[in-house]
Amino acid sequence: MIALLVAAASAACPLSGKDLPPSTRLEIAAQGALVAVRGAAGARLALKPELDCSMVGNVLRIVVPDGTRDVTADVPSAIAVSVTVLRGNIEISGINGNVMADVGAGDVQVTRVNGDVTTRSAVGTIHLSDITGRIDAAAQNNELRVTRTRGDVRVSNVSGTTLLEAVQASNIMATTVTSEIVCTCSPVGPGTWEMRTHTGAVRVAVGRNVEFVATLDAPPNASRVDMSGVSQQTEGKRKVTVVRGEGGTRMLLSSFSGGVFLQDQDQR
Amino acid sequence: MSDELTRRVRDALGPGRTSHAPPEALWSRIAAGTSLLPSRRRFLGWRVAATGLAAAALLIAVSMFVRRGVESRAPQAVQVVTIASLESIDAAVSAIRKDSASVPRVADEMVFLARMRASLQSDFLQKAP
Repeated sequence: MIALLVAAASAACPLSGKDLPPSTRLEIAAQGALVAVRGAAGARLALKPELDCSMVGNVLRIVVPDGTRDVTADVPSAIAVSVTVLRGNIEISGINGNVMADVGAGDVQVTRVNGDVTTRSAVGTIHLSDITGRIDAAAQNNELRVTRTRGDVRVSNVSGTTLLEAVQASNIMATTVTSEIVCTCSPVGPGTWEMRTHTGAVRVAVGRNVEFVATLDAPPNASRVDMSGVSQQTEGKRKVTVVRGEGGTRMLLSSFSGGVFLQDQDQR
Repeated sequence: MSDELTRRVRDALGPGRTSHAPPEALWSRIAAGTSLLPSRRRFLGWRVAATGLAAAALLIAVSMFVRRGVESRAPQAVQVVTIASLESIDAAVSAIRKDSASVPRVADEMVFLARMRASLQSDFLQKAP
């Protein structure tokens, strides 16, 4: 019993229950676990279960022992967070700093982040919502969903569906190989939206007051524009240029052998 | 069985214990002769419960084994999925390659697929163990 108590005491992070300076970068690495990081203003570091940690410079590093299934870290919101999990899930919320979440086989969910978000999931879904910074996300064969964000977006998928919902961005880069890209987006200034798939479909819906110059590139008769107040010009067998207003967002919407669809948002 | 129980069972069976009486009838005679044996119904219920417990334990052991096997193969799963993605891109390139010289759009698509391939490798393969 005494040995167990001593072991438990030695495994606890000495920073538990203490404030972390805003420059702190929390790094969590796990082989197989569900890792949840929850930020809250004024919160102090609390780990469940208690885990060992090391602080080198401004980096607080926690290596989750193999066999630990669930890890929850309550942290002050004003820090940067980086979580790497080989197999398992990552859930991060309430962070006012940059976030990186990388899982091999598992799902990623990041929400309420005021900062840049970088995520990877080789075998799993990625769900990002309520984020104000830049987004860089890559999945392979599962859904990648981005909701209510206000920063530039770069998303990549292979055979999983990519959904961009209520995304406000100057620049968007979305690519897939065989799947669909569905975007309900609004520009926040001049920029470029490039959405491209090889054999899938690209579906974009924008507000009626949005000015843009869009180039739709698809096989003959595979492009469809369902909008009001636009002019269209066909170029060759594949390209259609659609213009509304003067200037605005430049859109490059392309599918090599699938369809491209552009329409007003209220028609979705 | 204890000697006392053996004696009482034999007494209950009587000289016909080696007869061809059906098991139910023999059991009834034993049960009527001694209260030390459980009833046949109770005996069967215990056997059913034991079999159920053994089956449940086996099921749990198998599921733990399978789960551990799946988890230990997670790195391989990442590599397998990524390699499959790369192969699907390679197949797409092969399918359009023959037209690349004469159709500029095809050449542009091949460049796009090559970029996708490079991104996949850098995002998922280079860091895999």
